[in-house]
Amino acid sequence: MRKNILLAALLLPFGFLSCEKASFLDRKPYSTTSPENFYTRESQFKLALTGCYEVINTKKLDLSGNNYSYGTYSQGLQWIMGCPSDEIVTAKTGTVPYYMGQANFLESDAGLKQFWTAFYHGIYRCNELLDNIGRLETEEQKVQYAAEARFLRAFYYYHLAWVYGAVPVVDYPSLGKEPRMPLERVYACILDDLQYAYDNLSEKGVLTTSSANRYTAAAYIARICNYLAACKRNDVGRAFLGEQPLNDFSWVDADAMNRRALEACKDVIENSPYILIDNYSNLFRETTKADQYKECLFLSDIAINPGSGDWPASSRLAAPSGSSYTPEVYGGACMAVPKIFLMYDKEDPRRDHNFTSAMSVNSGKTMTYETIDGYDYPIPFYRSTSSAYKEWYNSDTQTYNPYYSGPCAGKYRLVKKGAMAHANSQHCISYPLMRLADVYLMAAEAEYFVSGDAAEARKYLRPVVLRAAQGDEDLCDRLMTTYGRTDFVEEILESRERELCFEMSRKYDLIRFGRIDDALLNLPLGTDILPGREFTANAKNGITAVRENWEPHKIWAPISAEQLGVNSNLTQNARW
Amino acid sequence: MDHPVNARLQVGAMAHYSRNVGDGAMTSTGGGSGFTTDGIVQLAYRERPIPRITEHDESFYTLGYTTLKEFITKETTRNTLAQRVTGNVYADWKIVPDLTFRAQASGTVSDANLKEFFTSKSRWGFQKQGVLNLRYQNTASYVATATLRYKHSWNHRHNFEALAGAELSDYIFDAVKMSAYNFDDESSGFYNIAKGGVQKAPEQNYYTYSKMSAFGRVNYNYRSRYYLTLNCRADASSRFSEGSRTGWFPSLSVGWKPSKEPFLKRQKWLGNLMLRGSVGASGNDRITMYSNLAQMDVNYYSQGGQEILGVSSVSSGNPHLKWETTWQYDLGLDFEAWKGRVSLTADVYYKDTRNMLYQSTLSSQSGFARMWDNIGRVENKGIEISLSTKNIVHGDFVWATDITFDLNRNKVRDIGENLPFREVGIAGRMTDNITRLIVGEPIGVMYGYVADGVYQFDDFVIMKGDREVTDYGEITSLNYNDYSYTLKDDVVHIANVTTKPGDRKYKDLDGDNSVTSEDRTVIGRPYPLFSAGLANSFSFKGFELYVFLQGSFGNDIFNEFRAITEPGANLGVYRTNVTRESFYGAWSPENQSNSFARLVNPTNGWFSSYYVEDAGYLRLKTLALSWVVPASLCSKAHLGGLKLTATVDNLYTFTRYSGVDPAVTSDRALFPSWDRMTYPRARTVTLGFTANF
Repeated sequence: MRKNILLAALLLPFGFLSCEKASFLDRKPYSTTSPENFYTRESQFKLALTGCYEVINTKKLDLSGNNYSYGTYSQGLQWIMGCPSDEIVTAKTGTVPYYMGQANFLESDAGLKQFWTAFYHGIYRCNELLDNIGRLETEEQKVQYAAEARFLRAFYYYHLAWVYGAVPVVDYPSLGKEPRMPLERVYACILDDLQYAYDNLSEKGVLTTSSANRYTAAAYIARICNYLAACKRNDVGRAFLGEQPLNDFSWVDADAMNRRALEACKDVIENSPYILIDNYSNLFRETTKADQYKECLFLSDIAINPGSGDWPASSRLAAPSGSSYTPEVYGGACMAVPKIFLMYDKEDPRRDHNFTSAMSVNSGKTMTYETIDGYDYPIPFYRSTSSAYKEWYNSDTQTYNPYYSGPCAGKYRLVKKGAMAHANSQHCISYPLMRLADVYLMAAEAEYFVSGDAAEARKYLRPVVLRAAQGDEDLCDRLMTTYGRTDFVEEILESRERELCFEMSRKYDLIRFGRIDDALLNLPLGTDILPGREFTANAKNGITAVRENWEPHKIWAPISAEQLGVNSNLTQNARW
Repeated sequence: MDHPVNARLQVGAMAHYSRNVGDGAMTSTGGGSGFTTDGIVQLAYRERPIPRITEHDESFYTLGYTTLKEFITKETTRNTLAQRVTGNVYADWKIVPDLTFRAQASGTVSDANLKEFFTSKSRWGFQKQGVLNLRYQNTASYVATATLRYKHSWNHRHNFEALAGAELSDYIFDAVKMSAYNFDDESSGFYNIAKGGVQKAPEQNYYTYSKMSAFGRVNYNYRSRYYLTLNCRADASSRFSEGSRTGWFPSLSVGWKPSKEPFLKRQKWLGNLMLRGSVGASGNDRITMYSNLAQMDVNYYSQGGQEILGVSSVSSGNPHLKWETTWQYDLGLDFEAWKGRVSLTADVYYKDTRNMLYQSTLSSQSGFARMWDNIGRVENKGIEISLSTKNIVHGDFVWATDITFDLNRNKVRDIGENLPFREVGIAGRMTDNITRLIVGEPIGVMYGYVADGVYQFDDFVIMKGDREVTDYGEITSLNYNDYSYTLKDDVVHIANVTTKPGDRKYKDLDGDNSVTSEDRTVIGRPYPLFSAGLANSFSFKGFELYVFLQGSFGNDIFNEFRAITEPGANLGVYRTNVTRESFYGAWSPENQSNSFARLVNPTNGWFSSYYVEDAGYLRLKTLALSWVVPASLCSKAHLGGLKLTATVDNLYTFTRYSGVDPAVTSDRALFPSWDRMTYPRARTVTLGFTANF
């Protein structure tokens, strides 16, 4: 008997093991939320949709705390989308994102890896919201949220497709084993999502100013359609189809694409509330967000004072370079290829905005400021009317003063140091991703390919030049004449470059028109355009690097070895 | 405090309080960011040695921060406070003479606070015009155990003991982190966060963790000759989801002491001989909290210049997670003879870890970068021997030796889904992930390129304009860039990289004449073939000399120190130093080295066998001399006794490893042999005396 009691006592604790269900072991997170308990009210859908936007320029994605800023518009995607091109180079080596700037990227490139992961994560966020859309109350809400999430999904996919070509497409919770889909499938999904957004979004999105709306969707339809039409017409990537047949554009009906682009552009131009703002320069400043919203259909939006404390680094911007020691601005990784400087008529005010001299500590100059909306902005030396400019370049003798380092990319402008909450090395410029000016330029391109009528197409170019001429009709006419080309494709590409330089449009313009090899392999080294005069060492090194490193197959970025390793169904792009 | 209440009941309690305050300069990185190469020790190596390269060179000062010396002494301050209260209470109740019930509870409450300030002139603060970080963190935990023990011996022959128990434990973590930047007035240091012009949104983290366990044990031995122990334990952890919380961990061990057998009992020389054998399982649930659950967290986007709050999924959660189980098989021998002149312990073991908990890298379409998962199987097998001998005991002279020998082989046996390998997301500086879990290889192998010297002039077709250059003598460091270099077709190319003479070259392993990521292979293994220790002590009269040698042989280290200080990747830019050998030894047209590559070249920083070094070492770890002063001398000084000691730790290390310490530690369990400029090991000299009055 005693032994039985003992045995029972010894076994009793194991009765404890009904504890599998014990509430003592049910530990739920306190500081985070579970998706099952979320998506119950419309306000939560708004939070989730904000999260879908956040990937555009996020630094962090997940609980790991890993930095993804080189893969988003925080500070790296500008380089992936914009470089290499014949308008911007860098002399910096050895770190992301500068590999892109020197055409020296490999499958191990951290920026590319972060981009792939971050944008697929963005797609996941959209898919998760769409999965839960049925939990919204009204039909109207369901359509509104679905349309905005689908717009963003298309936005993320089109970036991946431009960089990598064929990519896996998922619109459901995925285990990650999908192979890459041919471009035809990828773009069918993208255009489907954009069309849904275009058909269903109203003029204001859920997040009002920073939301996509129906005109944003229209503009992106135009961008995708013009891209596809040009790629088809110019046999983009055909040489590599033998090695990677997925990146094939032969299915594209180029005329239909241009027609669709033109219609979309016309809707935006004729019906949308967007305007070309008077002051071109205010599109690229830290504190002129109200002006930006008037012209930009979509931005990588950054708060002036984000509580996360996460501002992007200004050194990644095409901003006037200077140093943190001087009371001006900090920057300096980007260098303009001086060739573009010479594409502008000297009367074109955009030249003075887009190109500056470096704000060098050795210059010994006292900085002057212009006040815009109550904030002081340093005026870089390099204005053609300024005496500093004349010191730099003597147009009579065509000689340079080596004291100055040559034209810098100066498109993005930072407020005087210390006036903003962020650090000297950071900025809060909302990056324009789609501007009405681009819509005009896309309309011109589409019109030309639809009707073949250059004169008709030029009607869409004129408003952009007129705004550049600050409303001066005479100047506008002179510029239109100067910039006119018999080959209208040439004219449209140059017009885009003048208006959109350093806004990540040039690289893909060169690719889709099949001109990138020629442009990069023969990137001018100074002496080519200004006899007897070489560019500064930095510009020369950057240009030399691009010339040496560019290879035609680099129009498609390599998928990382890590992703090929975890998904054996993925295949690499040609020659990587 | 122990208190017998009555003959059958005893209760007791214990409490302990500690307080640790840390102040002053820091050796590690600021911001609590952990393991990086920007700590003060690393900066001391990496700092460019002269602020001005030429008389007018301002490039260092334009960075806006001070030199390293001022940085350490003036521009960074940190204060840490750690307080801890632990306590436990117990009650023992003798129900009947052989049956005891014990209830026990122990608890810990702790605080850990951090305050740090980096001025606007410091390297960690200049970009943000001063940085202040505050972290307040407290934890509370308890463990409550109840056990019932039965112990009985029949005629001193059958000795039996049985124990059953249950245990509950709970842990609460609560932390708040705050930061501010932009200090116009830095005079308050880390004592006034309100002076920061920019206040970062506070971060809060609260989590709890609980465990329920039940266990039982039966011990039996017959006349202390034959031993048997049966153990079983079941643990349920809140880190796993319902249905897979519980892990069962049984074990069995048997022992035989021949020395107690009648036929050996008369062998007086034999002190102890025991043969042991065991098999048993143990568990591991150490994963990131709530990894079983999908979670959403806050983030921010912007609208009209104002920040707006968002909420998004940050973790997919794996509801199928369960305990990792290690089965261990062990055979052992304990031997002692000649009154302790020789004693030996030897063990042979085999460990089989199944359902290994591992944070696997995911395919991005799944939406996430990583996820905890139970995958695969890892084995460890090895031998452990320790032998102590007293070689000479002759009058006042004693020479004793202790030898230890460890040998372990670690191997990944299976990685799940029939995969040959899995990626481990540890990226190199310029190349893809530097380690993998590979079936058939140990954990933490170094996976990279095989270095193959340096490209030389001969490997290229060299042109100057339209003229082919065959006499390389005309090429100098100054005109090097005026020539164009095209690799000859039969020379191995590095895919997608434009190489020039002097660039580091790698082996093409798959024979396509092009080095791609496919040409990476295992270039180093982190675990030693064996490690051993040898301690000798010699004592004569009052003197004793103790010499302890310790070593580890046959393992490799990835020496990231060299990967940072040799290539000169940022040469000319502010902070990178270059070692003297690599600066003067670097390839140049005048010095066509085949080991050091050209400074600042595109391939030199890649993760390759060039930076993997043999880490074998033998260290004179301790040398100690002591003297017990004879009583006759002591009494003259009115002392009861006096002992003088002199000890040197870490006196000398014999090694070919070029880094500061071949015994590296890495914070990455899956990449243990990684030298990221560790803090050097100190050589310590201790002089001491012990006196009795």
